[in-house]
Amino acid sequence: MITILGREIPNRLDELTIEQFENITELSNNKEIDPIDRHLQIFASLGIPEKEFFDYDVADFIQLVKEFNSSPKIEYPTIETLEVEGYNYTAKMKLTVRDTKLIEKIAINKPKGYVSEIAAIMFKRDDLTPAEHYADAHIKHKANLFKKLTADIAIPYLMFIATKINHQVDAGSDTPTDSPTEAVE
Amino acid sequence: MLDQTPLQIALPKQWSDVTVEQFIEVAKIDKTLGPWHYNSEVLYIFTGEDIDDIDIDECTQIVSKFKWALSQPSTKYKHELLGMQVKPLAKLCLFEYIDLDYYFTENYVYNIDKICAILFRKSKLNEWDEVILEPYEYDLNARAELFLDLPITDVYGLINEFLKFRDNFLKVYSNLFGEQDDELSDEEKAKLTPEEKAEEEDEKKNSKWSWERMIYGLTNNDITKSEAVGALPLTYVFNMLGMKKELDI
Repeated sequence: MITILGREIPNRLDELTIEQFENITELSNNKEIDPIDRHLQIFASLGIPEKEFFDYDVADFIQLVKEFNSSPKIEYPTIETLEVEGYNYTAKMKLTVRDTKLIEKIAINKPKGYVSEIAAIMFKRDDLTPAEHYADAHIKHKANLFKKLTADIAIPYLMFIATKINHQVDAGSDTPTDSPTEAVE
Repeated sequence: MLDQTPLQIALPKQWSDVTVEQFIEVAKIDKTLGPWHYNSEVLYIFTGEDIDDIDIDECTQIVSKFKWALSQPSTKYKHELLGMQVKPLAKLCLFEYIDLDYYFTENYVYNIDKICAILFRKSKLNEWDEVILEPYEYDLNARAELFLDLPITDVYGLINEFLKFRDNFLKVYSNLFGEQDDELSDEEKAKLTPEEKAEEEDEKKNSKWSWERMIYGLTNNDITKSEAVGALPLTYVFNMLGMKKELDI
């Protein structure tokens, strides 16, 4: 936690919820807003209204942003089991083709809650069948539940997926861009 | 010749193991859904096996076995298939060319079975021992189905052959076809005056009905003669049109 204007603000993955992490990521990736405004919005999303910074010195604000962004690099342990609302969920560092296809769909559409959706794909409820697990409505419901969990639960899986998919692309399993089955009329 | 993968999935080893139907199905996969969607669909089409539950490392291993599919099938083709022979393109009649042009413009990969159905013809010898090809009067869809189970390599080269023929044909008769304008962007359309908009609409209508308009003109507005005109050799029709235009008659 970091103290800003007398308030405790989360800035580590084990303090931020997945939802907060998603908001911060979305704002950080928005190149249409300038860095000061971007961080005002990030702090606002974490509970400090923008107006409280109106009398703040810019140099001090920049220092604050640096402190906020300089959380220590921590190797977060991989969490493989969770209990949420009375149900047990298990995840493995393993990707099936079906998981990858769903994650790929999320990556292409980039919905706002993509981290929680990916976590929802990776964590499977122990008492459900695969068909139930992959049902669209179930994934959405689970993503909503997981949003409130801390981001350190999802991040190791995001890293694993990124590494895995990069490895697959390097291995040449990507879609041909100039497919012979494509008409060039 | 099919290849056995570690998962005992029998994979085609080359384009000649892939049927026309499979080739069309692969072409129809929505590539915007991403490479993994594409790969699993291709594998399903090639093998009939649902691989969704296997690990992606294993899938990558399988996919790496059909890298040959990134190259084109051979541009050669068989001139005789299913007891039929390819009609020489220079001998196409008007209706045959119009239909081929339609299927090529729409999507020649999706329509390759129909393209084959137009080009492969039954034949017989006449009383002078000359080869006579069947007229273009059969059920095109029923004929097209016959080609679906053949290896794609038997017919793929026909695409290239027709494209070359059409390219040359359009060059030779370029004065009859005129310039094809590119489609205007939404921004360009917004800048058009009402008169220019009306002109663009007219051009679109003319382009949509260009073949019908041509036939209507050739039959002197008597549509009962259109079958007879459609059966005329393509080059004869265009030579006559060229003559009419040059002599302004």
